[in-house]
Amino acid sequence: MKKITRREFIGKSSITITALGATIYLNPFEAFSGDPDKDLFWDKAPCRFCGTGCSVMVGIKDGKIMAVKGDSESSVNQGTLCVKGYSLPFIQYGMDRLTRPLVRMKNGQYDKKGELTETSWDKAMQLITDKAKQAIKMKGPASVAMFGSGQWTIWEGYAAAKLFKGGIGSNSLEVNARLCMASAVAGFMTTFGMDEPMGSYDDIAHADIFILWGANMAEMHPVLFSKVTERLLANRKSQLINLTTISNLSSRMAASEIIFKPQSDLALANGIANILIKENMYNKDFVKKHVLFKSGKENIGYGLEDKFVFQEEDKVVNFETYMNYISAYTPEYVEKISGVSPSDLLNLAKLYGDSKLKVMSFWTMGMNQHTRGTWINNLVYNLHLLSGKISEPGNQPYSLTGQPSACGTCREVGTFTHRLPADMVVAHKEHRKIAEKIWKLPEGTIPAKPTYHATEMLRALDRGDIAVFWSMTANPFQAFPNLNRYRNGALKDGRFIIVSDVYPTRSTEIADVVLPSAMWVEKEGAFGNAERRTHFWKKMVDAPGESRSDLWQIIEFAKSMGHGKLFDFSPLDYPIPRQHKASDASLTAGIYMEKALWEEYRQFGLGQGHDLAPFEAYHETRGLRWPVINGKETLIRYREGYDPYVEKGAGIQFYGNRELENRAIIWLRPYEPPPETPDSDYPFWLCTGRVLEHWHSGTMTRRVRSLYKAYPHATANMHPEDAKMLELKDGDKIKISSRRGEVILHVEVGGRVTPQPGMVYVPWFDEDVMINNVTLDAYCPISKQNDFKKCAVRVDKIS
Amino acid sequence: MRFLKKLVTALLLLFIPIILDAYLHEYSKVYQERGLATGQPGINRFSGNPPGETTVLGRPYDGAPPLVSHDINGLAINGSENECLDCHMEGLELDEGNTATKIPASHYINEYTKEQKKDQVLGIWYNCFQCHVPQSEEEPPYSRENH
Repeated sequence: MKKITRREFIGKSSITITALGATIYLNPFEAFSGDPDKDLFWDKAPCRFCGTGCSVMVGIKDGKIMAVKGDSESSVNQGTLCVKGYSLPFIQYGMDRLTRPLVRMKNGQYDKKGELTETSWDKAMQLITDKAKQAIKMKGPASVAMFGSGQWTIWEGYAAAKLFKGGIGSNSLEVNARLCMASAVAGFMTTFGMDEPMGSYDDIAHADIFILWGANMAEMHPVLFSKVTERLLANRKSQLINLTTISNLSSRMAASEIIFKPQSDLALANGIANILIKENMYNKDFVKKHVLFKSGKENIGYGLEDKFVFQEEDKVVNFETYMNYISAYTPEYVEKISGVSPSDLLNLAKLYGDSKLKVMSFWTMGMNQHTRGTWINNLVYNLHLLSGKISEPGNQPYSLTGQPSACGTCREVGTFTHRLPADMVVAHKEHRKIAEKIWKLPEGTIPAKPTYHATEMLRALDRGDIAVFWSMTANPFQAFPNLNRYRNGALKDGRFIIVSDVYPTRSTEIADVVLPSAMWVEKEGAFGNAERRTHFWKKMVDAPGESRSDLWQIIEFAKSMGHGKLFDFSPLDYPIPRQHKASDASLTAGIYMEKALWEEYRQFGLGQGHDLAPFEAYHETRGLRWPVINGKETLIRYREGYDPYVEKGAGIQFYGNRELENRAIIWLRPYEPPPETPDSDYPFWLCTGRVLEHWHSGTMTRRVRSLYKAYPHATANMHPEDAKMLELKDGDKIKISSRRGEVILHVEVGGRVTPQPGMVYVPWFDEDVMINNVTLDAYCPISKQNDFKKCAVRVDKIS
Repeated sequence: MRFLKKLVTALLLLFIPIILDAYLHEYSKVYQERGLATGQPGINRFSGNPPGETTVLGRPYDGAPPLVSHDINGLAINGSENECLDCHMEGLELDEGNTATKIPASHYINEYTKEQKKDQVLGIWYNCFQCHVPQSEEEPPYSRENH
């Protein structure tokens, strides 16, 4: 009998169905068709994609995810989703899913120049362990590095931190979140002494004015944008102002779109503050009671050289000094730098200054991926502190986050080289002692010195200071700026690269070992979103083949390295769950590993303003926003009546700065130019980013047929005037080159985004358009976050 | 007895290659990486057919938002108008038998706040492009391969 291939089957089915006139759009995977309510078993989970943290209901049948729907019991998304969220049932079932460990081999032996060959977990883990032990012996523990992700579950990040800092004795732990929200963290820490937003998404329903600072929310946070839209349509006073360098979809709902030149947001924010003071529109009482002024180091560099070091020099100054400092930012001067007219600037100041209007400012990568990212975060907080529009319903500065657990995992657990959980740092002896006590380790176990932040980690790999580099739930060899250097570095002899992922990527192609991971509801998980909401999910389906969760992989590696004790818990305290599927990590250990790690982890935050609830609470709810005190979540921090940490009668306390009389800091920060600006050789700005349909490097979303077809390729969006000048028409092939590399792609004129004249926009999701070969690896000296939004390029037509 | 011996030998001979193959397959197969990379950048080409002149595409699965079969360039969605609603609000009949997909009741309700409107799509459902996306003619690279 002739076997029918999958492709033929699909082809035939499509024909049949079309002939019947039905409206089923056949997916290459078995798409669900039936009555979702009757035929499927439903359970809740946070969405796998962005930092919004929508709750989805997942429909299961016969061990497979068949459908999802927006969770109407979640205040985050209130029953809605975006098209990526609706595509969740397909992301697991791509045809080239990795299901077995692979090692690069020649003649049955590991060989860096060999071919990826299927092997057993035991053999792969033994090889990794040998390499790690050899590296530690030759170059010290810091030469073994792990690069994780804001898409790690909380316990995966926690296990990695515990193993690296408390076991291996290496602070060489970083995450892709360094590239995503480090400036947001540095902004929070320098201004408030405590990380993460004070408000929640609930504030949107109370705000009058929404100001987007370089954030195309309509595409990047579509569900939050729909909440903003709801408020705009319901409230006549409401207005959206889109401050941007690119004309984009968010402008559709905006009262005005204000285009500014790259990097000039620093001048804009100071210019608004200057008007607020000059025109007497600031909140004197609030400033007097709750604010302290500080100046810092200026002319701080860009981190372009290896081993770059920055040391802040801050001092407290008075209001007059601040007033004089920003008086230079006259509307005329700001216009010269930014291109924004004095009347637009005055209007913005009036919105921030009018005490009758409630204002929310939103930002993400525009402000964070910025060589002065910490500064611009500080400067926008300045506006909310000057106007007193902070920590009350509808009045909030709001730093949105990119990844589903950038907050929950990276920021709260502290999976960075310098960090420990609950805003603590390794450099602080008392902090190390607290961690050593909770981890039951002898004093002095945790190394006191941070080693490499993300960019420096890749540079250390290139130099040979790092010998073993393990990437999990990330795609660094597509995602890093100035990529040519780092890909070539990883391919050098003596560099051992391990990549744990679910599909082949640009990172697996240069890896020495590829490990197949379990994803999303194939494991038990927890994410923390951008409103301090911690949200759990249960394991619902089995992972294919021999794929294992990152948690299992970290613990097996720990055991293999002789640090298994770190994950020893009593089965009497933490018996394996019986009501739902136990994860691979739990089954292997014979205990409820996720619960054991959670209960240990939450000791870090109790009484420290980071209180997390007991484990069960999160499986029973659609998540809870910390601090959770006596079972009650906190919607607004720092204000009496909302936040139990604020003392009675105090009204407002920015208690992250307890030693500064609970005051928040208004920083004196200047405009400084970016490291590279267009010139006659490289006359265009390049800005990179995302599109609505694709998530990060496209590993998951480009395997979903309907998403692939909705946005198949990355193209270069250009302004019609620039296209005309270069004699380019829509669809022409071009080469974009910089001092670092080049990429070939097609130009798009009149697409859904139009950059300002003199700028090209290229999304980075497409592995056939490696735009990061072109980008610059400069970073904010304070946060160490790279700037993917500004570098100088040239555009040439290819005939 | 001799028969049994022969049978065992035959069975062994039959199974050894299978077992061996299974073993080799298990632990020494060179992985044929497929991946998405084609080595070529592409252009995003959509049908460009105006609303009313296309065939309905339907949904990726029951319960998922329907895909858009027509050109959406230039369709206004803003604070004062939403041109998608012009046809889809009522499920307008466009020409012979060609009907715009009607917006379902779900778009008039916020099940979380319990807000409900009779004649107005709620704000959280207002940005149609958030969920409903058009489809280019191009297939993902891996589905072109023979599986």
